[in-house]
Amino acid sequence: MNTEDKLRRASREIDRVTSSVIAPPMSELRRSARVQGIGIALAAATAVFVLVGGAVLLLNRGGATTLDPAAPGVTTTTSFVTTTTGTEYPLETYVFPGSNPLPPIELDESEELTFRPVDNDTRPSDISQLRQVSYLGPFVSDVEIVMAGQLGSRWDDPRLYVIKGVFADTVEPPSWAGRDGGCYVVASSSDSLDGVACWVGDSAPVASESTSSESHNIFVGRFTEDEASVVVFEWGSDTRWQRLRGGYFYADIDNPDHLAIGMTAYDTSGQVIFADTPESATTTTALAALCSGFDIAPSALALSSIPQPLAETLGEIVDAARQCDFDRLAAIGGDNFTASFGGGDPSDLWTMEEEQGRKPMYWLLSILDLPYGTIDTEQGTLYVWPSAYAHQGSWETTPDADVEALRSVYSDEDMQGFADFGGYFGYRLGIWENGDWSFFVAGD
Amino acid sequence: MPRPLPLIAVTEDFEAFYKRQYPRAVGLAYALTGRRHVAEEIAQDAFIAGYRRWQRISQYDKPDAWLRRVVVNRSTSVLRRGITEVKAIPRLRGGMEHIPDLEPEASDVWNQVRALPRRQAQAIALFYLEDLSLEQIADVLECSPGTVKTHLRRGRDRLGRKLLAWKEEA
Repeated sequence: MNTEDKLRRASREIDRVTSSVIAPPMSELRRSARVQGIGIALAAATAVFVLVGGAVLLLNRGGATTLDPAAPGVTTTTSFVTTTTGTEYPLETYVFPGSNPLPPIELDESEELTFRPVDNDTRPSDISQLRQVSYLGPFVSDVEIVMAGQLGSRWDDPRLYVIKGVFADTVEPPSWAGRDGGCYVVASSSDSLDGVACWVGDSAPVASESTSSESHNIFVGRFTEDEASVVVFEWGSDTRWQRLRGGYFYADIDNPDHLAIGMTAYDTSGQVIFADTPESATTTTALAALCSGFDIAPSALALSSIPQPLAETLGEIVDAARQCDFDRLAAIGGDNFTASFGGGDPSDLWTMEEEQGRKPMYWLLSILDLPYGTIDTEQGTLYVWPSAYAHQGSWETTPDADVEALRSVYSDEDMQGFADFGGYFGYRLGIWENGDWSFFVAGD
Repeated sequence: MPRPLPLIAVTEDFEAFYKRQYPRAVGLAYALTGRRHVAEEIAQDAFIAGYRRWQRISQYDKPDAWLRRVVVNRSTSVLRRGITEVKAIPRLRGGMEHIPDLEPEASDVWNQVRALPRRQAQAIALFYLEDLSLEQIADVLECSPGTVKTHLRRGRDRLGRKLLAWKEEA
């Protein structure tokens, strides 16, 4: 019996043993949905306290006021206490429980913090079903943010991820801005980031918005069934959205519906400004996988000038590389693909290299932004990126245009290295004209 | 005063969908996790999520693709984390019908499928167990049919080698 037959037989066996399974009564399902809804709302409330407490600490590092979960009106907090300092809270914070049948959460006025549901009139209608946790208030831009997300509604749930922010350069909002659930950055002036508003939800479309003439919101994150990512932008003086010293938050999160968000802020020296995410959130975390290809879109990729099968493969490679979907990349490569002259599983190799900070996906996408060249072989024509690689081992005969193209990616020192070596030896990628991906390898 | 948020209106459509799809969802989760009770919990969790958002999901072209995607992803989560119980999910009473054991040979095949790379295992389960087309699987896994085809081919090849090696060892 071949593999195909074995699989069909094994599938029939699953059908047989599950044929007697009966769905639990609808009444049970309704009851459970209600219980779960309350749990999610609790998690949302938890996240709000974290957001608010952290932001207040950022602004008011003196004084001592404790936001007591047992205070009047604060009946839906979970097991941690958020400490705040100072007496002025220029905050307006929302708990947006979406379809959860919970009453508005409201702190006592004496606390000078207000929790209330978002007024639908001021929010786009298409996010009305999302469970939103938003913070609209002052924020500072010179901090690193760690967002802790978890599945389920308990902070002690071991299935926990940290989404860690890093910093970099100016970019436009990512192409997926406006899709999926995620975070807003809220800014009320032209040169500072004033707030981060995040929510959790499924991948329903969400539009960018400006809620008023005084504030500018931009959609900067997404949560899908598989992953969560947040990019933080600020509204710069040149009236462009700027990514805050560059970074992105990226994590592999399987179930965004149950995601709760907390924050820990560090100053630029690495000192924790506040860490009032729940204890377990900072001790049982699994560091998110940072993806060097995230949000890089080769702009010069000339798909129209190459054979269609090759263009399709390239499109898939780009899509997978931007998400660091190594399994998918390996699947695109197939059995005859080379990722390393030493052999081995490409997925394992790229995972290791990303973890080591070698940024293979960054390089993959960056070289695809360079001109391509072709190499004719007995097997057919091989399309290679960058074009300089087509002139293998012959730097002197490499056309000036191909050499110059490398300068957008490589430093002068790197370029001198190629000249000294006598040819281009950086990352290169080759695809056969029939679309078969041949290789993506690092320098020798 | 803020307007009250709309609650999900659950129609009979959901119930019909639920009853029709439930056994298949359990079967898919069972194939992908190898754990009977966990499979039921994953299926229940998926339907609870579906119930809570049925107003939106019912508007999708393929609500069943959404359901399968949730089941596939949650099954993978369970495997990835080695969780034996889906703790955060309140178990439904009345739904825990006994699922018989698989025949040993079928059990071995699914054990080997689960040992494949994640996407290959998912593609195989959706193709053979759910009898979906490449396009339908692509909808569930959110990739192109070509990628599904590649996953299937590579998964089958690798599975063939694994089963052969396993048989020789046995």
